[in-house]
Amino acid sequence: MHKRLFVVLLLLAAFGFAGALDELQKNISEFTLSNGLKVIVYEDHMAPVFSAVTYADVGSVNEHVGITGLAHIFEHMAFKGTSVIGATDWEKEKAAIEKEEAAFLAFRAERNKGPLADPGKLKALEADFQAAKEASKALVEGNAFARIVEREGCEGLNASTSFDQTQYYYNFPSNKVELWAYMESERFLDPALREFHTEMEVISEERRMGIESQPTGRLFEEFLGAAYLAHPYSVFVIGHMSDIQNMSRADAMAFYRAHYIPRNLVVAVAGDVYPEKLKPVMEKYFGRLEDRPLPPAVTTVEPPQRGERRVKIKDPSQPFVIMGYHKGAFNDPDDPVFSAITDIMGEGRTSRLYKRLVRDEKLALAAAAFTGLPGNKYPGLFIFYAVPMQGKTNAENEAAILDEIEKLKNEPVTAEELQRVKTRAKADLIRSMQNPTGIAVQLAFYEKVAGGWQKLFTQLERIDKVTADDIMRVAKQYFIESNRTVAEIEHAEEGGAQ
Amino acid sequence: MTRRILWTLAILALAAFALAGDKKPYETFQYPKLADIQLPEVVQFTLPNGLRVMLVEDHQLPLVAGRLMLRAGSVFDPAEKAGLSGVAMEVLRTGGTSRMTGDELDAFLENRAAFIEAGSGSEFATVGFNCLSENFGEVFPLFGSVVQDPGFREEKVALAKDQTKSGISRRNDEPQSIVFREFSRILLGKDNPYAQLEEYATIDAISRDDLKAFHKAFFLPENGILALWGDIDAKKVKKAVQEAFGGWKKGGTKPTAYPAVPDLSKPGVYFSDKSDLNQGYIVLGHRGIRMDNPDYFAVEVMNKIFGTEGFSSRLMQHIRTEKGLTYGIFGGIDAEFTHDGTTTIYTFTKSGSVVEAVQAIKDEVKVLMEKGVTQEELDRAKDGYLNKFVFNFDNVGQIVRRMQYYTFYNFPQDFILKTKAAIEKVTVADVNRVAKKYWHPDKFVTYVVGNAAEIQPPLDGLGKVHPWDIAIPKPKGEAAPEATADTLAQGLERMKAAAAKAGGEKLAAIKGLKSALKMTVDMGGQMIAMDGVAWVVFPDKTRVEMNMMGMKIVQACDGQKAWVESPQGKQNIPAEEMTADLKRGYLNVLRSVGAEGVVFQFLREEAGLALVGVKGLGDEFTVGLDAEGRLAEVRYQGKTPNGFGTVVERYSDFRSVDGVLLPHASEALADGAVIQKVSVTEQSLNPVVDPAFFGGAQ
Repeated sequence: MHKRLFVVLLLLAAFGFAGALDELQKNISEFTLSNGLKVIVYEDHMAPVFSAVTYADVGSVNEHVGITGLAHIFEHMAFKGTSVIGATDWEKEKAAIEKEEAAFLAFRAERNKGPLADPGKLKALEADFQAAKEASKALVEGNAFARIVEREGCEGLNASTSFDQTQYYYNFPSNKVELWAYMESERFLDPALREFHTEMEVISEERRMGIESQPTGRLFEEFLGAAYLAHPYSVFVIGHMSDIQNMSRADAMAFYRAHYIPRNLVVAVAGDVYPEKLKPVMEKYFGRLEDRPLPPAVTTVEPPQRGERRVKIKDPSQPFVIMGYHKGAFNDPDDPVFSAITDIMGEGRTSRLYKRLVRDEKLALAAAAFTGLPGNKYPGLFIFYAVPMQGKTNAENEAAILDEIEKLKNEPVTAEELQRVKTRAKADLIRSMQNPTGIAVQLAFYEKVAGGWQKLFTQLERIDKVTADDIMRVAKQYFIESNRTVAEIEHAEEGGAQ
Repeated sequence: MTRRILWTLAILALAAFALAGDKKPYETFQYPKLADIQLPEVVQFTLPNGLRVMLVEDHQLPLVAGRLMLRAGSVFDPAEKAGLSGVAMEVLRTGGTSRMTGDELDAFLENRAAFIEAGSGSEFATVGFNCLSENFGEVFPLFGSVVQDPGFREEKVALAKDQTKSGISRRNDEPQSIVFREFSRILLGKDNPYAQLEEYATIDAISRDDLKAFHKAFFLPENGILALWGDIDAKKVKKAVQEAFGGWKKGGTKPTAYPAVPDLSKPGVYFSDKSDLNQGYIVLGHRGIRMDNPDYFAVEVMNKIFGTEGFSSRLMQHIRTEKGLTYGIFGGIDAEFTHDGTTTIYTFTKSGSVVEAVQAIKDEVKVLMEKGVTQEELDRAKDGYLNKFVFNFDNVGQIVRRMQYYTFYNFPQDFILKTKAAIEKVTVADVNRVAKKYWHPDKFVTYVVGNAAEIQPPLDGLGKVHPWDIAIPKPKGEAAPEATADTLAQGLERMKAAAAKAGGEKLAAIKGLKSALKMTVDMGGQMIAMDGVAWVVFPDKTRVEMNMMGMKIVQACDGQKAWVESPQGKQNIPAEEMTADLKRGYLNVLRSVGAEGVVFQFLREEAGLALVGVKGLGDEFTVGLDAEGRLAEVRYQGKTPNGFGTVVERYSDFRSVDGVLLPHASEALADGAVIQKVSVTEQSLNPVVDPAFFGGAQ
């Protein structure tokens, strides 16, 4: 196990970090299954474990009015097993699920008549639906999917849905490769979508927790709604409550059929695995997924903003302000310049916003900048935020941030600041290599979004090329009033909110 | 005969096929034996000054990291200075060293993409670093200086205190943090060091000297364990450790014992109202066990089956997956090293199903205690634990930090292996025994943070509901000495004299006041001038109309609700601030002398003023009577440009209006700086005003 490391060390001495990173790349390989599914492997035999990520190139951007939240709903349903996993008698269960669905659709139709709904009929239909729901549950081996993999040593079983993509994570002891390949391919081959309507209640609770009962959740939902007029980045990943509660199993099945196809997936595996042994296992299991054409791409383009947009929430919580400027997507040539600005403005105690707003003027408890929201695949936002100190206002913080933005437009950043950005980018990349799940996620992201996992390493070159002039140019071009959306929480006493 | 045999064989074959067919594919996989875990070599030694050191080489990446663990933490904070350890550990890093300012340190580290950070927990404090191996030679000595020779510069002390106070002001914003914090205060008692909260007053009480004293008391080499791991050469680093930490002087004092945590909990249902929630956040539980309890291992297995193993646990299966009541739920009997832990079950659910969720959780506990667990559940939990065991060893930093942690608590360094061996032996009978022994439904404290207006059916279905106050206490002014009959009598006598001086019996007849005034107010560092009219009608109505740079601003309060209207629009504002202003105002204080429930306590003479503490007119405050016995000053805790602090309002230019002595000028000071000046151009008593004049809030 020490042989490869020795090589790495030698190379470090010879070429410094760039050389070491080049050498790490040699541990990465890829292959593509006959159905078009791409697999990326990072070999690291330090410990007998591996991490695996399935990256599905589908997120909330692929939804439309009426089915918002569906990408995330399918992510939940992917844990519900298949006709084999979690089933005690699939034929019986299937019939029960169909009955439940029919009862739901009848109940939904009456409920959506609103004031014209017949109360007696509605009550009866709801009772039918509840009874059918309970009946279909009776045939389920509960949480079988999770129980099987956790029993066999899966650590950190999880998944996430974002605006751009859906990801499924596992860490396993390295003798469980076949189990993982079977389970992971099976759920995208033959999802049962069982316990569907009960899960909508779980997701409603998730929405209440993440958005409705959370001050910053409430704020971000309003913020995105204001910032985007046309592009689906305007709707938060979890979707609208009414869509969640009206969703049918057929909607979810159609969405799955359209998006969970091999060409739309990338699987990244990092750890104690050997590509030549992995390949036949992948063919055997993931090769079962049927090759189908890719779904249509999102073609809606956010039109240029014509004037500043503002949202103010009066809320019992303490003040908070965010400002977003429209910017290009991850592959836009200016993106590395924005990365540099993020760093210079908001990273660490040497950053401009920390020094001025937090340290010297004591306007903010925290103030920084970030990109990547709502997503990276399509033009996103460059966001500044401040958490005002007690007794300080959003307006004071906003004014100070705007003043710092003006400086960015009119004075070149220092050589020290720029060098710091570049040093940090290299160190961050090296640190990210400590975590196998992180490596797998990054490889899959670069493969799907940036056009190749190799770009993870050439990204450093993009940042190395950023100049002080670039930063002034980008600041002048993007950080203008008409391109800005501001959202804030204004403190109102408990019960006093209007 | 042959046919018969064939037939039998066919049946046997079919049976075998059916048997295999009954098995699901994942049940037929054969798993190769997992490679043995390779434990890294940990070099351990103790410096002559008592500092214990652990080193591990890991050359996979060009990175080095380290962590010092010290016996220091919030449980040792004096009650009147709660929050001291947090502030001290923050400034340990931000305040620089004696030779390098904090700002210089920031630049030095960040230019190298290196980190040194310090933090404080309840039982230990940590200082850590992380750097590229090429910078180890310069970062490590600096780490040594931060630990041994911190500068605690005054401006960073002030910054950390202000930030901590800002944090306090935000602590009720998110329900998850409220529910755990307050549950532990209910369970352990507000005064228990493990539950005590930092407050504005306790942070105000902290000085730079306290930080230095904290450092002197707790930063002792024999109290610490240093772990280093990464791209290092253990031999060379041994020398570097000697150089950086060899000169650290031994304290020689016995380490402070961890405080006792007696079980004082009062079972019952507790509730805090928070109107912006549409869910109830629920924690219920009672005290747990100590880590050295021999039942710890059986309890761990029980916890996994019951509620700590995500989807594999009963709580998740029943309350989330089957009932759809929540998105998240977990819970189990918790163990601590130094005292019985805190057993909690946590979840959250829409307001309409809070009672149902609590009931469902209690039922789960009951079923666990009465019916126990099955062999299948036990096997699944143990298999999962054993199969995941390798993840305890997949990262060198994690391995050495865990050893450091066990060493800190005087546990065997290989306690994880002992745990594994013990868990392998746990039986169904063990689990069922500990389930009965350590769950105590009769002792449940059930705490809910939620929206009282929405929770239906109401919580009292669970038992008598005790309201639990989470309001953030305002900073205390000067601590008044214990009142005595003498100081109370003196206070009342002086105030009576002041009231007589101001108008005597005429005061009682005053129903209100109208004043035309000019004022300047500090707005973000600038003094802005304005003029206008103010009306007061006792006991609780006020209205102010001001002109500021051509803008009209009206603010009014009818005693219940308050609002402000400006060209930007109209909005409601907290009524409490306006009524508080009125209550502690010159005229109201004097007309309240002798009123029932209002208490005056003479405090002392100071700078020509007799200071009298006032209780019973809202939050406590202090008034100052001048040499002529006039009410010349009011001191209170309130909003200042820097947040919250002491405000001093000084009255002058006393003139008689219809036989009542009224000040015609005032100024307000915060932290010694003038924040507001008022001069009255005309004043009249008992204005005739329609009560509707003060209403109009939305």
